[in-house]
Amino acid sequence: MRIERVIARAFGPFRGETLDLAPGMTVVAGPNEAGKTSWHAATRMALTGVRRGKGRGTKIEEAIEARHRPWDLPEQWEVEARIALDDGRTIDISQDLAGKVACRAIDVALGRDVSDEILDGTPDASRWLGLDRDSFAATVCVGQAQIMAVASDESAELLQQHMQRAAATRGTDATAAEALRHLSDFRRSAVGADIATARGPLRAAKVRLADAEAALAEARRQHAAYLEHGEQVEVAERRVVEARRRLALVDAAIARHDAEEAAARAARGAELAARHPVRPPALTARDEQADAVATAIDAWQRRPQPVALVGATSSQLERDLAALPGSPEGDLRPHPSVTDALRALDLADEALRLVGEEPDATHPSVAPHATSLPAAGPLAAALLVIGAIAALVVGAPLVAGALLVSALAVGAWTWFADVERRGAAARASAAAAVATQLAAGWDDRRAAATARVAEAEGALRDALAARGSAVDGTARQAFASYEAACAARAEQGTAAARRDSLAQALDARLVAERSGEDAERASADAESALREAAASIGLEEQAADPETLIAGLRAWQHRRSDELRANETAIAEWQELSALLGSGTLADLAADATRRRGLADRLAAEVGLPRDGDEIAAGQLEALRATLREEVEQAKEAADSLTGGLGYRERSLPDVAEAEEELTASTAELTRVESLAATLDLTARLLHAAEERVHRNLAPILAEAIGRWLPAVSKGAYVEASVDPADLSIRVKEERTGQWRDAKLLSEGTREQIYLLLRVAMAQHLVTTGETAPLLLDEVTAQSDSDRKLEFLSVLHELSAERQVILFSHDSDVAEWAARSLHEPQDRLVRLATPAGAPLAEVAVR
Amino acid sequence: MRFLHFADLHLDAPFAWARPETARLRRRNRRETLTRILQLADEEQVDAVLCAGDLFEHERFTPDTVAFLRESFARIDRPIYLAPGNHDWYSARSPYALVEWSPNVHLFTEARLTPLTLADGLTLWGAAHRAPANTDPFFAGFAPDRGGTHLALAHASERGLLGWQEEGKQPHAPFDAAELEAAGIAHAFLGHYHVPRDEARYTYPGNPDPLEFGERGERGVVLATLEDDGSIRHERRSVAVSEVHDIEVPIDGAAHSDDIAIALATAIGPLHGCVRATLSGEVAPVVQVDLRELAVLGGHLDGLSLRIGRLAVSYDLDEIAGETTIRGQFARDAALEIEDAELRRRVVLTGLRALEGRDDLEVA
Repeated sequence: MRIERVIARAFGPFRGETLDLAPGMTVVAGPNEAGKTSWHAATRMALTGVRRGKGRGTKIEEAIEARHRPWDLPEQWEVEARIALDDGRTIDISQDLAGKVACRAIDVALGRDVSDEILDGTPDASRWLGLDRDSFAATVCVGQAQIMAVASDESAELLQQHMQRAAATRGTDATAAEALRHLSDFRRSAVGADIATARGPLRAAKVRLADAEAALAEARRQHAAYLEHGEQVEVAERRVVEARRRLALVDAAIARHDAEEAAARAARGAELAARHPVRPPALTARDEQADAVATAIDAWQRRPQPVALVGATSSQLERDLAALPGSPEGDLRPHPSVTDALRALDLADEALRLVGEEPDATHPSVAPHATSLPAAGPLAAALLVIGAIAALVVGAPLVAGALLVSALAVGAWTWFADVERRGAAARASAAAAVATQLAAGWDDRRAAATARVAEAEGALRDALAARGSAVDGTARQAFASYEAACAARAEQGTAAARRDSLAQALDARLVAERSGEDAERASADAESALREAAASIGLEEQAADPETLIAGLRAWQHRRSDELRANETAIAEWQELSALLGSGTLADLAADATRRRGLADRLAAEVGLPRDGDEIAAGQLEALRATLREEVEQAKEAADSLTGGLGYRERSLPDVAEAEEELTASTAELTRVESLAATLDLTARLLHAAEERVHRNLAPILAEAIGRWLPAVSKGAYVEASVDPADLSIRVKEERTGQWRDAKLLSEGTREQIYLLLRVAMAQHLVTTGETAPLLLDEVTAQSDSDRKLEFLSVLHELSAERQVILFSHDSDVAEWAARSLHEPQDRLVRLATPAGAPLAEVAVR
Repeated sequence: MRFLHFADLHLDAPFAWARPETARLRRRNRRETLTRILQLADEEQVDAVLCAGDLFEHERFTPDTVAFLRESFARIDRPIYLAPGNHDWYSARSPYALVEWSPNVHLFTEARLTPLTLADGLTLWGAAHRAPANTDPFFAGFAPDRGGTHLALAHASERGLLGWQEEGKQPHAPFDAAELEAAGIAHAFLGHYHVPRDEARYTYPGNPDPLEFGERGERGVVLATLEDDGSIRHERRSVAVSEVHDIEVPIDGAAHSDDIAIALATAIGPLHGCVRATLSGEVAPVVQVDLRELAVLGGHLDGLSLRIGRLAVSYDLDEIAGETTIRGQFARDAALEIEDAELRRRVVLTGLRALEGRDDLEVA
């Protein structure tokens, strides 16, 4: 793109002035206030126009308007330009800067409006370069202030920043690094960290969400508990209802029972009243008549019974007693001393006999005597005793007595037999001794035996005499007399021994006979009493026997007892009637029964009490009612407790809907913050990646662009340049030392020129359409010394072979250089008139 | 015989978009709507009020709402027939079971159609949901066990209308319209679908008070008159208390935030109730769209929900992407790397704004 002409229809101080520009390099020179800056601005605005939109413009736009809008004709602010595009078209572009309406771009050859190709509200020719108004101003247009800023020591880093800014946004906005810092700062404030101690929006949103989730969970839990509680209340109340229903059933049953009892009482009252119209008289249960009858009967029944007496009468016994002998004196049987003496005599006699009349070897033995005695004596005696006992047992005392006597006799005989056996044995022994003596000497033995007999007879006599018996005749005779006398005394003794028993029998007989007499008297008295009693009650059978009287009296007693019982019943019934009536009447009883029946029927109907239900006793019903009343109370208490708890729950129940809304809001807030964080993070990542990539691509381009001209602008001091892709920092290689030096440490003039080189390189780099961007330079050599200025102008001149260069300068050195170096038609020097308003002078140097 | 038919009141339902005070107001509006419904029943002297479910929300209802319902129903001197839906399903823990309703309230509690004789030869068959989901069909294979005219009251989903409803609607207790005819149902008074529908054999009254923004159709209650031939004559009445508006606010060409504020204020100024405003258009890159600041403009409304619709910023992204700058590279990379258009929009705008040094880096 080349600008051929700029016509300031109404721009700043210009009114229809034209600035023709060469296709190569044009230097517009003039003193201060000659209008260089106005032409610089007019040139730029002729191409780009101004932004079209509602409201106020940017501050820069406002500053431009304030400076360049005609103050005396503000409604007219117009500028035009003719440009030649690299595609061969020539375009006339007119900008209605005031109204922003009559703006257009016309293809001169075709006469066609091509504004649409570059329309951005108003036509903007920078768009043919792939730029816009702002980036055109930032890259194509280089002002004095920019150069001064780069050249100053205080802002040496601006060179690098400018490259970064241009690389980022064609110089219109922040650098990528600034944008990334801005994103980071914004993220810190608008999102914040996601750590427990953080207080930023992200953490706050998460805490809020967690709180909301917990609150909702709690609200739902409480709501569910509330529902469950409600169900429990319902169940408890149903239990109360059921318990009450059962209680009502029992109440109805009891009422029915009461009604039936009342009906029974009414019927009973009526029955008793009919039976006892008046109070029945009270009968005395005991009176003298009844007592007499009872006593007579009792006395009769208790009378002694007469006993029939048998056996000897008392008279007979008295006679028998009187006939008894007295007791005998002397032995009633042979005394042992006598019998021993007799036995000794017998032995002596036997011994003498054994000695014989002459000696004899043999001697008769007495053994057969001993063995001939019967041995059954003890056995017989025992049998007799047993028989006597048996006779006593069976009630035969006489037989028993006889048997006892026989036993005594047998015993006595046995005793004698035993004595005899022992005597025989003694005798046998003596015989043996005699025989021995005989054998020793018969004579001696004979004499001794004889003596012994005599001695024995004497001893017997003595014994008899000692017993008071007369000793007449031989000893043996005397003994016979003594033995007979003993037997006689024994018989007398036996007779005399009956006296005591007879006396006792007599006494017993006398007692028995007196008892019989008493019994007969008592019986007579009892009978007499019976008859008196019978007479007292008017019994007809006065002459009857006692038993008949007794029967009559007992019948009278039974009748009397029945009458008493009937009277007691009547009294009891009267009392029962009195109790039933109380202070009321039979009518009251009937009314009560009717009332109770009505109540019972009503209750039964209310609770559906079956008519034929199981009969339960009243006592059981009362017990059941007490239990059910307790059940009702317990169920009611439980229900009341649950209802109270439900009320508390209801009052403190969180609102689930509100909790859900808070959860939704907090979720949305967290989503917003997380989305913002994700957006910011992704933006930063992409921006950082774009920065790296663009810097990586741009660095060699810039290095080449600088390196191409660096030896010329530095007079050979620096021969090579490098650009760091990381931050676009520039280093240059010193020719003399071969060392690389940071560009920002170079001299101001060198930095200025490097900056311009970079601007050129960047301008072309940023152009994306294949067009060649012109360069509009305003006082860019102000900081350079003369030599560098000329070198730089030479560089610019060389650059103008590739792109149009338009340099505005008040510097006379520049004007002189232009006058020397620029040649029409490729180049041009335009000298502006003084600010006195002289007409625009165009000077062709050559 | 005349009935007042309504459904889907959804007492105590949440309003996710609203601020707490607005949500509470909307919930109060629902109650006021029920009061209007019952007043209308009195005014029109209907023979019965029919509610086809979703009267309240089981998981959210408050004790106060239950008390309100009980008192409201007790105050009206005409029968009220309730058929619980999937949001107010019947259970032992439901207010339906726990509350001692006034004698004029009849509740259908079985998950099958059970009869209620309204008059000689006229039977109302009702059914209840007993769970929040998976309720079996009510009408398939159903055959009344008696003669006369048969009406039905249920919360059920006619399959053919499902696609006609708002998104996310589940076909609880589904049925085909032909099943009603096969079952001999003269007319079914239904609930569940919020988009109203009046058909010869069934009616969906729609939600009587707005639940969401952008609802369409004439929603409210239906005064249904049973004609002698068993047909139903419909008459729709609006009973909504809430005023809800869903508007688009064009902000094309807005050069700065004041332009947007003016456009929004102009749009919502004459409105009342709750408004959802969708901002759409192309605005200059410098324009800052701060919804939180704009929401202040709805101070005269019950609630204002702002959202961004087709909002474009007048960056020439193609041109930017053509730049050899970092900005251009960034725009190209974003276009290549980010598939999600909305995310791409936000990232590109954020990056461009960051490069411009702007503070409004949170893109609306």
